[in-house]
Amino acid sequence: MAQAAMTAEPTDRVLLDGVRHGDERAFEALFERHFSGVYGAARRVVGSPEEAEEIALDAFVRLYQRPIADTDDANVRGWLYRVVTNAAFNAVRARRRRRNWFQRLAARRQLVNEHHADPLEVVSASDEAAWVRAHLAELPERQRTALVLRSSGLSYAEIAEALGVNANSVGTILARAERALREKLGVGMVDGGGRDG
Amino acid sequence: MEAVAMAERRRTRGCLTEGQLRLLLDAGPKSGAERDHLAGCRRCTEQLELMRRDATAATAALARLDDARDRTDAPEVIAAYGRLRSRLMGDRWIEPDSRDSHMSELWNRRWVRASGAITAMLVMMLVFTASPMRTVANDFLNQFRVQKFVAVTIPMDMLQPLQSGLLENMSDAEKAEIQQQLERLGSFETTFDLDQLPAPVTLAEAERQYGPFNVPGDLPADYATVPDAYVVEDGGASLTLNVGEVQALIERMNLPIFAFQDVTADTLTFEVTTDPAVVLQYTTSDGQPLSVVQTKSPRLVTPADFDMNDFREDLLGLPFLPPDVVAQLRAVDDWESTLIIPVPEGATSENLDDVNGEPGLLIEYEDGAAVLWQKDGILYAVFGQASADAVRDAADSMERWQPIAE
Repeated sequence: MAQAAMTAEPTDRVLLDGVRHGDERAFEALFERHFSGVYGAARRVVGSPEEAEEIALDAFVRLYQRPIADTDDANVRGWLYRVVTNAAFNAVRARRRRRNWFQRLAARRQLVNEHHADPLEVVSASDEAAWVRAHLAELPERQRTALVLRSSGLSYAEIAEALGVNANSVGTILARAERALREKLGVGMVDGGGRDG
Repeated sequence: MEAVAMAERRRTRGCLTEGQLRLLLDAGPKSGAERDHLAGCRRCTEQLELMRRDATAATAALARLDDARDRTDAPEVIAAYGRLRSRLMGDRWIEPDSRDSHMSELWNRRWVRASGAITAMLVMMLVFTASPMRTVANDFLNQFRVQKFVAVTIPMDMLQPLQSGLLENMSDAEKAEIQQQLERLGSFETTFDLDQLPAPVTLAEAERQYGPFNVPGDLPADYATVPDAYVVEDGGASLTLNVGEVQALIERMNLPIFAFQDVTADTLTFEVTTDPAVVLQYTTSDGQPLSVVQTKSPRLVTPADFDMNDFREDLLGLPFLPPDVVAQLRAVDDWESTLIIPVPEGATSENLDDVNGEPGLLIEYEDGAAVLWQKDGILYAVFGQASADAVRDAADSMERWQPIAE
């Protein structure tokens, strides 16, 4: 259904213009086109399918109630991904304040260090994702968003649009984000492979 | 300052920038110059390898955020849009009954199908449990066969109270969620293919395929004496219910069904198997049909750890079932061997003491009649566009078909 719609439907810019003029069909078309993608990005960050859907729907509610401005570089897809990833990371932070699971994970990490094992091999499968999410959320906003968007399949150009940066900067942001995440997770550090750069 | 100085030194030496190296990991060298430089620059190749290690570690870590559930419990786009619509009701141009848009039409159509699925499921459960067919041999506790028939008048709008009472009070989002639950209830498999009806054969060929069968000796006037014969192969169907999903749906819809509460199995499978059947179709010169069907009773096998008696009581207690229907069903005392024949309002039924030597059931409807009975383990049905007397005479005259000697 979505593929058929995508081949037959106009560009995001045209649909956005329709949304601004009260065309429900245009809004539906944008939803149909982008919902699964932005939901997937949110899901990677928050883990919970229900929470991810809420975040994705919130983004569309915002788009519906206050459509983004029609500028030359108006980019609905990038805007949706940016809004969703920001909201998702906010949710992760809020959750972390509410719960004490991070302390539990920290205790496990202590165990990891004592046994000189890869933390991702030691924590249970269900906690692995939480472990990654917790550290991902600690990265600077631009870095963590770039990582999530890249793992969601967006191109360098699309990530640049979503982040509002020059396309040439995306590689640098990604490289620093990956280095920071690896260092936070400790992967590779415990096997004596510390980096010097 | 040190980073700026380093970047400047790299630029002046022609080294690749951090961003260029990272892009190179994904897309390879953009030019021969990049490739040449990389081949001769130890600093850049070492930097690239460190970057590759970081990227590999980050990719592996991020992959842990994509578990298998992402592919199975991701919300359906149309259902999610239904939930979004319910949040936006009253806002600008989203109207509750908006039906002029593509997604709305799709969504509404899906709900109509879901509503139909509820109806079909309940009717099937009702038929299964109000008239399970217990075997004569009774070798298995939960295997059923038909021994006789009883007609129960079913109002055509019997399920309307279900839709109006339970469903119309729900929001679009709730309906969409129930639709999703219905789709997860279980799976239905069958060997039957209604698109592949058998070809007509001669009576001799039908006997070769099916074995001995009976034909009416006394046909109503104007019917051809030689019918088209069809032999339907044996087959089966199974319905496997996901117990957890059924329990969740029952709870969600607040239905007074308790038979699933003590089930410990993850799934329950109900199976129906049928033997071959022979169908004879006689026609008049103007094409009016009279059909004769004969087959062994289908067998219904239900899960051993599922109490069909409890389930029958649950279904008979459903609030939307009309009291007169419940009364008719409760009057079926030997329900385990009786097949309920739903009869629409306006049709009449009569229990017959003697149809071809056995008790039977006559149903008269607007433009025809049907007679059903069981004899020696074979179920018979004669029906068509003829008077009740003519159909009954045809049924009474059933006898073993014998090929006419040349």
